Parts: sequence; structure tokens; C-alpha cells
Amino acid sequence: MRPLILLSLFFSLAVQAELSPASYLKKVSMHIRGTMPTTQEYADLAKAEDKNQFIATRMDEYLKSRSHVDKMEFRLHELFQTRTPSGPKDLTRPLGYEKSNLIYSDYNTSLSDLFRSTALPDATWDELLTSRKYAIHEPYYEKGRPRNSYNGELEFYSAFQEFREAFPLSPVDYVTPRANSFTSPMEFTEPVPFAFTENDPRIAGVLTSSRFFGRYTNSALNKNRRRAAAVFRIFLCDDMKAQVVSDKSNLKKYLDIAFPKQSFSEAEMQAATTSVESKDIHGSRKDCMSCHYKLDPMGQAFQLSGRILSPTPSRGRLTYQNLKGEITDIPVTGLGALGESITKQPEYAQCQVRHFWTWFIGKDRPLTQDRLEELTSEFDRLDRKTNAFIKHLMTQPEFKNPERDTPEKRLARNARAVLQNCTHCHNSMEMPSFAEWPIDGSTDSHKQWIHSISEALDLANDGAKKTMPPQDSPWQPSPEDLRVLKEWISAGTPDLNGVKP
Amino acid sequence: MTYIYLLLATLATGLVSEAAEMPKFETPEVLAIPGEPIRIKWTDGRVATLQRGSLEPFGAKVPIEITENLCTFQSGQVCGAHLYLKKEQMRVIWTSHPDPEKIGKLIRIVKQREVKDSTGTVTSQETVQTIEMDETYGNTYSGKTDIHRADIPQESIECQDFSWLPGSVGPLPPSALTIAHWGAESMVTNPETGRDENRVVFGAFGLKFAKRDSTHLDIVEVLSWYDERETPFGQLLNGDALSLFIEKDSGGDICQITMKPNLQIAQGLASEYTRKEITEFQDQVFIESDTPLRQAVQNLRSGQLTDYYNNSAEVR
Repeated sequence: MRPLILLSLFFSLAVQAELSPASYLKKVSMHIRGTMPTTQEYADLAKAEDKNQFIATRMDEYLKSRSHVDKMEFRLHELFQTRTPSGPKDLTRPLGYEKSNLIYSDYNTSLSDLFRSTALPDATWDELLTSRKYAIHEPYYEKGRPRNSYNGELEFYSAFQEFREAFPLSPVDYVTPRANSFTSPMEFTEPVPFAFTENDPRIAGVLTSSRFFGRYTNSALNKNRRRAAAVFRIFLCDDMKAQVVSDKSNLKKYLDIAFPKQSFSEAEMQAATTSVESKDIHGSRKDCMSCHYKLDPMGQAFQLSGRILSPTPSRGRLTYQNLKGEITDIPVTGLGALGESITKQPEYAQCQVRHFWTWFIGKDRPLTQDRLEELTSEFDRLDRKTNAFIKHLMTQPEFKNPERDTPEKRLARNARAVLQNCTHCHNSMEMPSFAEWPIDGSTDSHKQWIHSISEALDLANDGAKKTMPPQDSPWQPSPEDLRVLKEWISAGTPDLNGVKP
Repeated sequence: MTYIYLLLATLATGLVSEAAEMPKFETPEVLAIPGEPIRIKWTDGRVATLQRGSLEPFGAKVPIEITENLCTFQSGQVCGAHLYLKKEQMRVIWTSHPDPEKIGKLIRIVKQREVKDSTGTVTSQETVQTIEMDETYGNTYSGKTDIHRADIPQESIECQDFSWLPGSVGPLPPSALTIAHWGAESMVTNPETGRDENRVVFGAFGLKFAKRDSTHLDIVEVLSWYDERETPFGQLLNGDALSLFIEKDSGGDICQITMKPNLQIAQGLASEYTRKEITEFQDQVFIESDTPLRQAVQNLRSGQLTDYYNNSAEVR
């Protein structure tokens, strides 16, 4: 066994040779700024005695550049799905940065400014959820003219007394001429900074931005579930795929959290509820409950806000099954309190580290749970400062050492992607995750589970008599999925590093 | 809630002959002295006057059905919302002019512009406009301070039985009620996804009601509101469904009631009403507290008579 491990280690090192200094500098520059280093920088690197120190210094400079801020803004728009390909080409950039030629209209919003501010020196990542500072854009405001109504971003906060005082309407009102009557050259004003009181429970960075509300349109009828789902996806890496809650003893607890009106009598519920929250229609279906027990309590924190933000904080709850398999259930009053609570959760920190991993190391590069925990500790130790953590990631072997693929690794990645579909339903304390190897922690248990999986999927007969997943499951393996699993098992179930158990 | 739109009726558009008289550009003086008629004076002695006329308010009782009630769990009742609309018009006419035929007629703003056609040929084009400002007033709760709204009845909710509402005393309405958020929702296509989605198109925060009698709750105050559709009538009910969030107690516990309005018939009638012509006008004296009037004066002073940017309009 020992020679085999040594051989694997040798093979692993052999395929992970460290980048040359020039390639490392290029990779750093491309990841931070999106551009190549200059010829002069390459020349200076060649002359430098301590090349790592030289690159570290360049890294610091790149992290202070406008293009880094632009790139982080772009990444966050991708993550938030707030990018639309339209709009003016020449936009005034806030926060002291010069004009940019980006072509997306969404770059002209306070949400964009929040994205940008997280990449500024010393900014912390948590500010995405905890910031109370906005740069108010006013796209419909004509420079030099008094204003008689709130439009666009101004309208979003217009129910707040302190905001109306900061942006008062003109004492002499004015009716803007209709566009078809007069041609009026529109002049955009610079964004105007506005800060709500520190710790205002109603304000939560990106969650209380006009663009977030506009992108994730929602209403009281559907209980703000879309907004809640976006929060879970972005901040807790929970994409809300249906799960079966196998722990039946907890079902009542889930129901009580999601539908607190259970305390009302059956007759009252029958007579009153026609919505999706009706216990009979929805509440008793476990596959629905697996999302609603999380979405509905969080949706309540958004409930008083329609298209614009409510000045009254709403009560809601941050409820989900945590990494330990227990129920996290935190009452909050206001979106600000919700944002603060999310940042205190270990699942949040790990999720954000995953985002950084995807951006700077690569989505295809496996991230083991141990490595994730290690990086999350570092993220916390660095006070969750964005640039400090990016710098840390760029000095890690996964960044400096290009991964060369092997057939075993490729096979493992493909098999893992298939088995993750099983995990969406079987994710509970009673059943181990099939996508984490060895399954259930030991080589023996791994082998037993592989045997069970092979039988349940009837791999021997290409799935002809498979018993899993159930016929009513939203996911069914394709012939290609079954072929991948068969090949992976035949190859000895190598892990993501290509090592067999 | 006020809905104002500026109607600059385009009377004629045509090419200007080379022999046309050169227009005289002038910024006239707009006199708005409290208690006196609003006049516009030119240096050559011409005078125009701002007049105002109105129609009797239009009212309708719109059925609303309580479809979901997470406050008292009583649903199925049908109540009515009494909503009103008042149409007014302001116009500017000649009261002193060397041509006696012009007296009492609308002033005409003549503008000339150079227009380039598809072949690149530049021609001069003349546009003639008048000033007639239509105003329609909807919900009275936002405009109580305006004197001319005094004849619009108080908007209200009428029910024979209010027991479905938190704070009601048997079938009687509560003495006062605050709706933390009133939202009218409609299916609207999301331009980013192309999908129809429910979204709030009208919303009001802190909507306060007061008991009038055993069957009416009057709308008396609103903290703030927003209206995506800017419809002149029935904003409160202008959606497929209404969601009301009501504070059950001072502890901030909030419950939700959903209603289905049936606004279609009333909207049709309101539309007919807004198309009616106003025939009687009086000279309008300037009243500081009259917001639409202030807006009209500001328009006149801000370039409406001189083409705003080019100062190239002539008033005839």
C-alpha cells in the first residue's frame, strides 16, 4: 500500500509544477485587473532579485487599481444576475474613479456602487450586507432644474423621513415638459452620497438597494419568496433544489416555523386560506416544505416593502438547516437585522469563500471540505477584508500551481456532478452525501455505499430496472450519467485528486 | 393624489415660406400676485390671462372581495370602495390684443425648427401650439389642503359587516385603522426575463382610516405612496389583487389581508368622464397653497412661452 501512496504523491507533484515567475505575474494581473502586465513589468521582474517579493508588491498595486474594482463589480453582477446588456456607454463612475466604458446600464446604480466599494482598500466583504451608505443615482433628474417628484432610485427610499429631508422636493414645483412637446437634453447628475444611521435595522446593503428589488420583483401575494431565494443562493450557497426531509420527527418543527398560523384551528385555516400557504395544499407536502420552511420566514422580513422600501421594519426569521444538520432559527426585525444575522453564520462565511474560490482558483478545481474550512478560517482571521483575502488566495498552491488534468480526475469530477443530484434529496443526518468521498467517512463504508448505488441504479443493466431515484423525482439520470458512474466505479472510484480509496 | 398632464395642443405643422415675417422673440412677464388674476404681459401691450374651469366630481363604488385573510381568518365578504375623480382645465387666452378678433381666444405659441430629412435636405418647420392644462384629481387624502378640492367627497370603504377587519367591534368598523402597506398587484412582464410576474404597481405606506359611521371607514391620511401606472382614477384598487398589511398590535406583529377589486366598469365610466369637455371658465386668481396653480405659473415662467431652450418661440 505504501509504495502506491508514494507513487500517487509523486504523480501528483509531477503534474503540479509551479508557474514560472513571468506566468505567475501574468496570472495575477489577469485575475485582478483583467489585463496583461506591461513589457516594463516583465523587464523589471527579470531584473528583480526576489521575484516573489516583486510580484507581491505588484499584487498590492493591482488591488488598488480601478480595473480591479471594475472586475469585482462585474463578478458581483454575474453572481447577483443583475447584468443587462444595454444602456449608455459613458457613465460617471462614483467613489473617485474615473469614467469607465462598460456598456451595462446596471453599472449606473447604487447596487453597483456597493459592489465597487467592497473592492476598495480595507473594505470588508460583509459590507455587502451591512453597509448603510449609498450613492444615490437619479437618472431622470435634469441638472439645474427643481424636482417635483421622486423618480428612479430617489423614489425607492422616498418613504424614509430622513431621506426626504436630505433630498427635498423643490418648494416651487415644476412640471417637466413632455418629451414629445420639447426635446430636452438630459443631463445626468453625479451620484449623491447618502448614509442611513449606523445599525439602522431597516437597511441592509445590497438587499435594500433599488436594483435588487427591481431585479427580484416580488409581491405580497407570493410572500417575497423570490427575494428570499436570491438571498439564500447568493449568501448561503443554497440554490433551493427540492429536498426530502427524511427526519420526520422534525416535520412539525419545520411546519411551525414556516407556517406559524398552525396555532389557529383547522376550521379557521380551511375557511381562510386559499393561498399556497394553505396547510392542505402545500404545507403537508414534504418536498415543498423543504424550501418553504426557509423561504417563507425570510420573505416575511421583506413583506412591508412593495416596489419601494418600507420605512417600517418587518419581522421575519433566518431559518435553515445548518452544516451540523440542526435548524438555525433566528428571529429578526428588519432587513438590516437579517443582513447582520446572515454575516454571523458559518455557512455564510464558507459560501463567500466558495465564491472567491470560483473567481480566483476556478470552478473546476475541486475544493474539499477540509480546505474550505481552512480557507474560511483565514477569511475570518483577515477580518473578511476583500483584498487581503484575494491576496491570500493568490499565494496559495492552487493558484500558483496549474492543475494538469488526468483521466481519473476528470472521471471523478463527472461522477461527482452526477452524484450531487442524489445529495439534493438525500441530504440529511441519516444518510451520508454521495458526493463526499469516501462515502460515510471510511473505505469500507464507501465500498458498501458504492455497491448499494450500483444496485439501486441497476448499472449492470444500464438502469433498466433501477429503483432509485423514485419515478416522481425531479431528477432522472440520463444514459450518459449512468455510463459515467459505471466507468468511475470500474476505475476504482478515484477521488478528485485521482487517488483511489 | 394629483395627476397632472400638460397638454400643449399642436394645432398645425408646416413648412415656412421664405416670405414669412421674422418672428419676434420675447420673454413676457408672468404676474402671479396672491388674490389677483394671473396675467402674462408683453412689452407691446398685449395681455393674456390664465383661466380655470372644472366638471362636477365623478364618483363610483367599486366592489372589493376579501379573498384571503390571515388576520381574522374571515374571507368571502364583498365590500365597496368609494372613489372620486375631478377634472379641471387651465388655459391661457388673450384679454388684450391689437387684433380684436383674438380677444377671448387661446394664445398660440409658434415655433420654428430646422428639420433634416432622410436625404439630408434641411427645411424649416413651423409648429403652432396652445396652452390647455388638464388636471384630474383622484384620492382626496393627499390634497386636502388645496382649496379647489373641497367639493370632492371623502373616499371611503363601505361594508355592511366589518367583522373581517382587525379591531372591528362585531360588525362595526374600528374607530381608527392604519394599514402599514397597501399594495395593488398586477401581472407585469419582466423585461429581463420575458416572464409575467406579479408585482406591486401601486403602494401606500401608513394609510390611515377613520370611522365615519357604522358602515364607512374614511381614508384620512397617507404617509407616502408610489404609483407605477400613474392612472388618474382608482390607484388604490388598480391591480389584479390588493395586499394589505395591518399592524395587529403595538408590538409590530403584522398580518395580511388579500382582496380582489373589480375596477373595470368604474374605470370605463371614469374614462368617459375625463373625455368630457369643460365649457365654463373663469379668470383664476393666484393662490399660494394651490399646488397645480403654482406648477402652471412655474411652467409659464420657465420657458413654456419661449420654447425652453432656444428662446425661439413667438406667441400670437
